[in-house]
Amino acid sequence: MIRIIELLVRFKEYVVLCLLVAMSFLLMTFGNAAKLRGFRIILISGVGLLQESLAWLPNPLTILSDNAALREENYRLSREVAQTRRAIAENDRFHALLQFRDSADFAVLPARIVGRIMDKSRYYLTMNAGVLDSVFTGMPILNEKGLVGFVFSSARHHSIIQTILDKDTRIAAKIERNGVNGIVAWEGGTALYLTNIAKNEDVKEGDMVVTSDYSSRYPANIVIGRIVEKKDEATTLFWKLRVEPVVHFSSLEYVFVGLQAPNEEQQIVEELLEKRLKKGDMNRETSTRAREAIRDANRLNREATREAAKEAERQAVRDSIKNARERQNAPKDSSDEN
Amino acid sequence: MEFFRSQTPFADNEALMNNPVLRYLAYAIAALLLSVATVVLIPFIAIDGIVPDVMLIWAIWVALNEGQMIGMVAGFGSGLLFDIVSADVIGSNALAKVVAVFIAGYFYLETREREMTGSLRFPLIIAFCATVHNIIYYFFYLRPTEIDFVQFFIRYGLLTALYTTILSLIPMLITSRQKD
Repeated sequence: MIRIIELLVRFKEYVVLCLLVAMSFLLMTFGNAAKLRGFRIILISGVGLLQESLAWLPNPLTILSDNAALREENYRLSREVAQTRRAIAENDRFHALLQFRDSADFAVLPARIVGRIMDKSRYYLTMNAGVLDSVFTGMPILNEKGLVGFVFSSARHHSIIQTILDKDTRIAAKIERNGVNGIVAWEGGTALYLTNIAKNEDVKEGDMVVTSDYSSRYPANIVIGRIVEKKDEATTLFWKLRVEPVVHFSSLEYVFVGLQAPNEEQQIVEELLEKRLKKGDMNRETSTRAREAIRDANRLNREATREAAKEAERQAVRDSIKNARERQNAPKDSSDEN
Repeated sequence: MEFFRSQTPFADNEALMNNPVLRYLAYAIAALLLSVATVVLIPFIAIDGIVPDVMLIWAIWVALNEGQMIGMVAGFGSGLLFDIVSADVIGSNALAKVVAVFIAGYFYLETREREMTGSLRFPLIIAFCATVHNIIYYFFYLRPTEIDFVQFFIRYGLLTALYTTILSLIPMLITSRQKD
């Protein structure tokens, strides 16, 4: 026994090492005892409080890398937010377009704006629909908000739109609230003017202006804009009404082509009349040209009708020949069968 | 600097050095403060997740001043304290520190303690013992996982040992100045 004790004392460092190592293993195995856990929770809570009180202290060694990471994260999130905003806006736009297409009184063809041509007095747009999509010159162009313009010229796959922001714009229009008729014209910038409205008519700022039934180019009741200013000019008997278009031309992305041809005959007459009014007198030459134009248009109509009648006649002849042949073949077939 | 010297366990205080009870009490208080500092303050000087092991420096310093036996008890106690405070597996740090301090205890020179703690031998001992400590610690730390031990040890174990060694230059320089 004494020898064992002497041995233990002699190698006490190793004995202590073995004891401590054994204790460590025991603790690692049974360290999560309930009592110890309670003590540990108290300690960790205390440490947590200390850490919380020092949380405002910056770590100088990680602050730069943290900043870089945060900047990167910020940039990524900003990009995502922008993308989401764009997607939401696009979704809203498509919803409005779909609603418009479903509710339109006439057939429409959607098209995308692919280009813009602007000069001082004109504002043209290029869209990705052309003759092969049944888009022809003169067809009205609109979007879910209102009137855009008309097809100025048409190629196989693309067409040029002349917007209503054009020096030649003259649209037969009316005030939606009371049906008072006038003419919408453009006088520069993004504003239109509703003219020919007598001063005794009831006009209010905020009234909506729509295309009238008299328009030869556009379908009726398409919104053009809103009256934003009413000018009482002393030298005239008419109001000068500034109309703000409802369509934002600078951000236009999608449009609809109204698949209806304009009334050409009416257009010719109206154009001639307009020219006459501009000149201020009705000379012989103009009236002759107007009459000639009407005559030409009527002639074209008559020719088209005659051509259609001839075609119907030819079709009837073809049908009768076909029937006769069938009748001739029928007894032969029946005799063969017999 | 004088104030700092007078407040540290390296203080040249006769009463403290001669009275073993007071000395061990000072060691215990220092261990407690260091363990809290390790958890609360050391993260502020972390470099890419690598932190120095202040408790190990302290335990080895005790072993080189008091001998292998006291050092092992200090290592075990400090490791256990750190396990409790840091929410680690209880006993893992204690085991690693006991073994590391046991090795450090071989460098103990009675009556010539400050030759060890006040010279470049101190960081060298720290470097060696910290490496051994990290091998044992990460072995038990990674045992329940499928993480590759060698890669993890090179990434964390060696770098932690290096950082601990660099930090051990501070007590070495203070002791060296006191010795002079």
